[in-house]
Amino acid sequence: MRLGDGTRRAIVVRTAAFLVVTVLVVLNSTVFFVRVDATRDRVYTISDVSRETIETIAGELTITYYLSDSLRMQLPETEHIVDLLGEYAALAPGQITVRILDPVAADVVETAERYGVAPQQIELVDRTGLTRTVVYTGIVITHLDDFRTLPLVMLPETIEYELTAAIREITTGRERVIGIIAEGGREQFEAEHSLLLRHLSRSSRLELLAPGETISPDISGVVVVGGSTLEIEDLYRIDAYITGGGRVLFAVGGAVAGPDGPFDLRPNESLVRELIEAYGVRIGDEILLDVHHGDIPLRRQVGDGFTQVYEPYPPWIVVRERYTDPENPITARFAGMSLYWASPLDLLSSDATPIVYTSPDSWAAEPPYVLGPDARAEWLRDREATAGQYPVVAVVSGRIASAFREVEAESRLVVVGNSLFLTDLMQLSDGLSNLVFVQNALEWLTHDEDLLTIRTRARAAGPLDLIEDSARRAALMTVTRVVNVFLVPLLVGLFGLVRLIRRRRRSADRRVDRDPRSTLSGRAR
Amino acid sequence: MKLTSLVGKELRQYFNTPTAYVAIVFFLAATSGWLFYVDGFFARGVATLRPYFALMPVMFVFFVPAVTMRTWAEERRTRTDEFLMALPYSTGEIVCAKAIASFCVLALALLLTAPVPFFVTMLGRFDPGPIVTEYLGTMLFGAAATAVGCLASSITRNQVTAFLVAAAALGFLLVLDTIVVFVGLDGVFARVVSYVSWSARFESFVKGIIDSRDVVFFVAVTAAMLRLTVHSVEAGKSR
Repeated sequence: MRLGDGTRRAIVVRTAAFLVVTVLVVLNSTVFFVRVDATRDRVYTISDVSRETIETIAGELTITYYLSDSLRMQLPETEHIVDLLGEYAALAPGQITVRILDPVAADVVETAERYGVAPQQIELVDRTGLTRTVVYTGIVITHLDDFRTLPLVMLPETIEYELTAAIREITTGRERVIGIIAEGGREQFEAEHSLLLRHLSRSSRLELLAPGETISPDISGVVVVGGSTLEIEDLYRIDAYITGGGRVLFAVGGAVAGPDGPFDLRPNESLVRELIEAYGVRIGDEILLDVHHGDIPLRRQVGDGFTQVYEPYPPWIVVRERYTDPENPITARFAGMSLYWASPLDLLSSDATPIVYTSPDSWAAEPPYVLGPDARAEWLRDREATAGQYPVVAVVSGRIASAFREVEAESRLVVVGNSLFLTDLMQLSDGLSNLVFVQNALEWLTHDEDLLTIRTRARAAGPLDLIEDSARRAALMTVTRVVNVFLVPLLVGLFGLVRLIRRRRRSADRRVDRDPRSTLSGRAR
Repeated sequence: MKLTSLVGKELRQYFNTPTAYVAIVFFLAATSGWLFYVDGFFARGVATLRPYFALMPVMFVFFVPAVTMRTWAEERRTRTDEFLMALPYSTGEIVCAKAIASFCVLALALLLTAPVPFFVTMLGRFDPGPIVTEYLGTMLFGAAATAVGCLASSITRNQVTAFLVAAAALGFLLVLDTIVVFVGLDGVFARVVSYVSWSARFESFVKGIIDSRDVVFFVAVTAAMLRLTVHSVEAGKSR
């Protein structure tokens, strides 16, 4: 059948009209849209904390997102950041202005760099292959005559926290300053804690304090790392800071490394332990070991040469999410942390609360410690006598009495029975969640608990650790693989095969029934 | 009712030949095999199925054309399309019935992936929200891909050609944003082309977000492709 010209034209017109309407609907949807965030912690939705922060802004605020087009094209995550900024603008129309600018295309490279948005050299795929390209991805927030810069913005998961913290800082004029009292020299500390310093400096101004230096009350919070070299005068200054309302995170272990290397562990005889004890938390002399542990990198001889291998090492504890206090803001929705030669805590005050524990399958090694990587029998020496679950992190909150004077003040402390968890060891042992812990602890200490709710909801997916028994876990993994990769496809294939064979047989039978010759021959029989 | 019986007839045709079974077996084994053996899901030890669902569009580039290649090409080759058009159904109804039947095969394949989240959620604390949106996004992507496959099948008599055309079209739509970079486009045009890239539109679902722009996009593409299929079939009457 041939269609007439008129009918053909009508078909073309109908199709064209349909396509035009469809395009208009799509265009319209880009203007009027809704986003439903189905993640458990509403990671991609602007939070009440941010809304409240925006409502309190006086004056106009401009958020400029300097974003290279080439990066925007290749990194879909940047669109989520753009959308999130749009939601900030929608919350306070006329008061918050959001601009998205490619510094090169908009000819504002100098302005962007003057604000501290540094060019980043990254590898991008283009028509010539993998090439190093200079891109910009930073946010500048300007309010009145002041500005704050988020110099490198890549992850939509953390952008709301950083943005709201910066807006709050710029509109209230409050800047968070964190003081760090470290043992060893400044250079050594910076070399051993590069990850920590880099991470904290994104949200706070850091001041490395020399022991004995007076701690300014303007410092929002102090971190005491190790502290084995602190003298009584240094402790007095810390105590004065606390009884003046200052907040402190103590990262102090019950053991320290001796002169013969990291495995030459000896009890930490430091006075700082006595200071912490005066606040209601005693740090034990023991070193904890746990069946939930990380691997330690070791140099082993293989043939004529040496190679680095990772071996299981129980004194490097991996704390699981379920052994943390879900009610405490620091550890709410927390993925756990890694501790290296940690010591147990003994809580002496009713104001002290444990928030992180080892697993029930942990035990303690008493001094003298023999915890070298090859002393496996020695690891288990005290296991029977000391098996149990131990607190390793505690918080003290309330009126805290001075260790030196007859005064007390409202304050907050966090005590971790380990100092090495803040070092770059975390990079070697998959312990980067330690950074999340420190950041959370500092938010809690400095009373930015509402900001903490943004941070904790932005955490990454947790580990596959619901089944503790490694044999059962391995068995379930094998079953999962076999069922999904082999069994289900096999069953579908078999079902199809049986069905097709039966169908073929049925149609063959029908053919035989219909065939007159077969009927005749049947009669003849 | 009329549509249901047409869909039933099309579905019976699918499962009366080995094609649907082979395609589903390949799809299930390839997606799960990739997750557990190539991607190293257990070695990574993170409670998320994002990598699994991020792979789905790539698998659909092969799976969907395998399912849809016979929808119209086979009718044309055996000349049963003329008989089909003589039935008391409109062209739109027939096109929709064939597309729905193809989509049902795809939905069945996705349903059979349910043991993956079922087993892995016993190992870790997964966020159920993103798994739901990942399935929703995969369904919407699959519906649009099915419509493209039907259109490809309607323009040829040869099933292999239909498969190749659909696979090439889906592959192209999937990597459109990367092509923009390779070609060196920039400005508004580049942004528009990136916007219609299917992988970019699928990204939100994988993260756990249902964005009305993405939903409208996939629904609109499905509708447009089906309309073009109707056009192709009706225009074919005149040939």
